[in-house]
Amino acid sequence: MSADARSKTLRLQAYVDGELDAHERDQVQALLARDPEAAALVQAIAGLRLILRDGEAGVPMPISREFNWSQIQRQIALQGGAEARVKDSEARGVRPTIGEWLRWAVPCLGAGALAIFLLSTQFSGSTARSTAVLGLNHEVETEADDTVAFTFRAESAGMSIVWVDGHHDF
Amino acid sequence: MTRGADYSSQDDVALVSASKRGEMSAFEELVGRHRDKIYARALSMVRNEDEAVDLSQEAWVKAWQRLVQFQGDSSFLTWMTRITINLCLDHLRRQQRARTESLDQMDEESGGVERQMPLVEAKPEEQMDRLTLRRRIDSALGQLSHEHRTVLILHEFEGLEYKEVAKRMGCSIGTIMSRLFYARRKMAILLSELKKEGYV
Repeated sequence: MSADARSKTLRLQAYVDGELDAHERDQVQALLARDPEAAALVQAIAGLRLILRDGEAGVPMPISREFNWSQIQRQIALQGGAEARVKDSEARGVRPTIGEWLRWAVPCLGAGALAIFLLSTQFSGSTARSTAVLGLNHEVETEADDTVAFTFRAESAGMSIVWVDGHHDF
Repeated sequence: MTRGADYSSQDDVALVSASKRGEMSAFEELVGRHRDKIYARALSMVRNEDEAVDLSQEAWVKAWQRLVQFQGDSSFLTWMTRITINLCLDHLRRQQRARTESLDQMDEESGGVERQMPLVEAKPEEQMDRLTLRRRIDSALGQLSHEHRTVLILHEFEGLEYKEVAKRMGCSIGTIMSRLFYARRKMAILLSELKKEGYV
């Protein structure tokens, strides 16, 4: 069979399969009108497609075969399925758990408390030029002239909060 | 979703979502729901029950690992079938490397595509034993080379276009068209026997 005849045959098949553009389809239809052999081939391919369309056998998996969920589960575990799930969660931006929050919050709170402690120590060790009242019996002194302090005392909690502003601008 | 949820009443979309959250029971329901279809596709391609079981099982493991990649562009079954097909193709390629047969040589030896093909037509008006017909089609598929069978399965049963089949099989569109024609002609010859028996 020549290359030309081969190409023509495959083009007829492509026509049945809907793989041709509009121009090519027109060309094939013109060919079919004048070539009975080509028309017969197109009919044969189309007929076979019709037979095959619903002809695939649905084969249930044999019950006796070694296929069960526990095997799949085991393979998933062996092949790092758990890791894949963690990556999956990270990729989807899943919210961290309380434990994950605490892992970061505890060190941050500790650092904050230390900073407050150091700050109060520094204030108490300086010479007095202005004074901020802390609770009922404590004083914090700073060297700055324009320092302003705001105090809140919660008697029920036995706690005082002092906000010291060294950059106050009146 | 709570543990022990009734997964059987949920659709695939909900089960996939639950599986993505790591709920293995949801994935188990998906496996139970589609395992026969996945096995059938693997069997149709490799024609060996043991290999089909192994490959379909491997496909389920891969699906679990790649669930995050499934975006719902197609149905879960279609996505799952694609994974199975790719595994089967890899398996067949490994087998092919072990053999010396070359389909291209085979094509050349047989003189390229012939234009004749037996006419096989369905006759809906006739009472047809569908189960017998399906068995005969399956038997005919089994007589094709795996290259011809794969092209036929991907194009006829999975509905893939030539270029998609070519991409998956790693060859040119021209080769796919040629193989498809061969596969069809062989099927037509094998099924034309049914005509004599009155099934078609």
